[in-house]
Amino acid sequence: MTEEENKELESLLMELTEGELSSEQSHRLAEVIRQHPAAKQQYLEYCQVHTMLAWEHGVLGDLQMRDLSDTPEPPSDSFSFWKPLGTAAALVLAGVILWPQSGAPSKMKPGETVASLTRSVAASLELFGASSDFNNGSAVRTGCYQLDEGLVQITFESGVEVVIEAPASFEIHGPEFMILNEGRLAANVTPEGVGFTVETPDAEVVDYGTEFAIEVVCERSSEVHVFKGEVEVQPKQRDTSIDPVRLVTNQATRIDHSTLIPLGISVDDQRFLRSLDEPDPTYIGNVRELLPLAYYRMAVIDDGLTLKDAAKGHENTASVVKGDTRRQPFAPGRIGSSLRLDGPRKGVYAQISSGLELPTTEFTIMAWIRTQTLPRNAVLVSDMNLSGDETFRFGLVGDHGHLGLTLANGKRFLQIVDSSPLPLEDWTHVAVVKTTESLRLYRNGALVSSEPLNGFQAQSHNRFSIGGIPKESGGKKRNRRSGFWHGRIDELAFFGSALTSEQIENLFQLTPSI
Amino acid sequence: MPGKRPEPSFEFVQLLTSHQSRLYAYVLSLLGDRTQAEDVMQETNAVLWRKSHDFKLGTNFGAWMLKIAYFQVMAHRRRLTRDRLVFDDDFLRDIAEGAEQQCEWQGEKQRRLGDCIGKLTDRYQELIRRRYTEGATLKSIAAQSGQSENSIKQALFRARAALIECVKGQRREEVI
Repeated sequence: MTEEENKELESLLMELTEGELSSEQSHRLAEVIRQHPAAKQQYLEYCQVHTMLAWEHGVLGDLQMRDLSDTPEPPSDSFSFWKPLGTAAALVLAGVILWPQSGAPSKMKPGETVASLTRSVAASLELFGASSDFNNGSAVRTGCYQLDEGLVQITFESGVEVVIEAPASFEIHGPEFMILNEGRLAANVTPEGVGFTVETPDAEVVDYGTEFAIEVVCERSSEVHVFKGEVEVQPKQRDTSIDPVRLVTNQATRIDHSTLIPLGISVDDQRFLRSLDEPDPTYIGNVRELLPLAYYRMAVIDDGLTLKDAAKGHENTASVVKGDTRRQPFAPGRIGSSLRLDGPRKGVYAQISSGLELPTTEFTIMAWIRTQTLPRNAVLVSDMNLSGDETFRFGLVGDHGHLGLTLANGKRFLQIVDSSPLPLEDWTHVAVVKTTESLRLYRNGALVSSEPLNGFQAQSHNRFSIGGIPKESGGKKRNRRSGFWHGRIDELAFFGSALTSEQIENLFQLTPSI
Repeated sequence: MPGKRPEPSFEFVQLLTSHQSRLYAYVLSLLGDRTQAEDVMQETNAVLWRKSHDFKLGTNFGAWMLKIAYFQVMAHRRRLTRDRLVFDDDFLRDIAEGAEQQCEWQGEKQRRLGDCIGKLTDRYQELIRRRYTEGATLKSIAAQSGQSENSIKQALFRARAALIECVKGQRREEVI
């Protein structure tokens, strides 16, 4: 193209967007474009950039309410032709244009499928504030999401898996990029997914093939925990450039919203549910070999309420009673996930079906437990009924974290208590055994206490509950709040026989290290 | 209402909304006339809305949309006298092919555009803002800045040219 033709083309393109091409000019434009492939390319790019600018500045999205099936109205002025697509469209657009972050509005392309919903656990997931029907296997498209309840697991095309826990607000922008505005997210990045990036209000986290988790406390801080591999955390720059933080296995950082200065912290492997699948180490097989009557692995179940019985030939499921919380009851466990109990204030517990009958002569109850606080007389397992009758209580005795078992038979009671208190925020393996002669209490595989029965006759028990007791009928609210566990319970097993010290120690030793 | 088609799904609306930019760029390229492009855009949206239930979610929405837009452009052209047509039928197909290819990269370019605008000089950023955000006319921009309409027109052209280069990934320093 000659200089003169270039000038002419520029002039025609200016008229195209700023004025009005006359019939003559239109034909001239067509002629120049036809003669010069470069001119055609320039023309196409020019039309495109004009449109993108209108879109970038929200002009194309100036949608109003009107039924599109109506006859279109003639445009009255520039850009007024963007006719309404209905309420939903306006809503979509609001989601597209109004970012939660400050700064210039960005754009995303909602609607492109980049992942799928591989698990949904009692989840209330919304896309752009409009309820959508999300089920396991549903396509996950780019867009803004709000998770008010439950858990979701999203698997991207690259194989990257993220588990997000409510309450959370996040945006999916593509197969390798998402934004977490608030909430908890755990990611497992496959080699194909290296480079997967999660942005938060405070930082950008780029992954180099790893297992990591992020928690964003809105407008306060972003924490990044690396369990395996390596990530780079780039604090968001404001006035000055802050160098990124490189995190490797078992390292963590907090980016404070007010300063953006990275603060080194301890990695927390007990905060994030990193997988919704229950692993199957040797411990599990050995528990099953001992033929438990009921075995609650505390696996994550999609309804967010059922505790499945993993004992062979038994189906003594338990149901979670949510009390005063909407939070789903699963948390990281000693093996896989565990049942999370939020103490007296929330009043969460689980009720075992009436099919479970523990013999009065011999039995064993075994579990991995963890305490967050030590509520007075908190229950691990109890048979208290609605009238307040109780013959069996395994849990804390008193106020200082001493674990014990109390049996009552209407005439007297028998109690065995561990003289050392349970540690806070640490997993402990516990077992209580009743033989025909004694009660035995084990902690981390070792016998810590033993009490002779002295002729005590155990009474058959009522229906068992886990982690709390049913509300007493007619009881005062304050009194109904006693007895709730605050912490976690995992791998809870009931046996109709007295396990030996060797069997208990063996099971403890078989538990995989964290 | 009995006999009335059900409303399009939310996902469809989301797709339609997010593709508006591509749709307009395509139609404008084929017609070379803003007013005509606006009319055809509206007609195409109405057809897409009516045909929403023919679209299978998960398939290529962009391709389906452009196909319908192409036929709407052809229908529109049939209503025009020959002297109002910018491109003849043969060349239109060529343009349509080019415009379709351009659309493929529009999402990526759109993502870069914000950063590219930030690289413009303050003056050009202000011009772009006034022209596109406020929808100000050349006349009012010129009156306010004390410059001629023609120099505003040229400045806008240069700003757009710089943005074209920038979104293509070819860095260009601030435009003077």
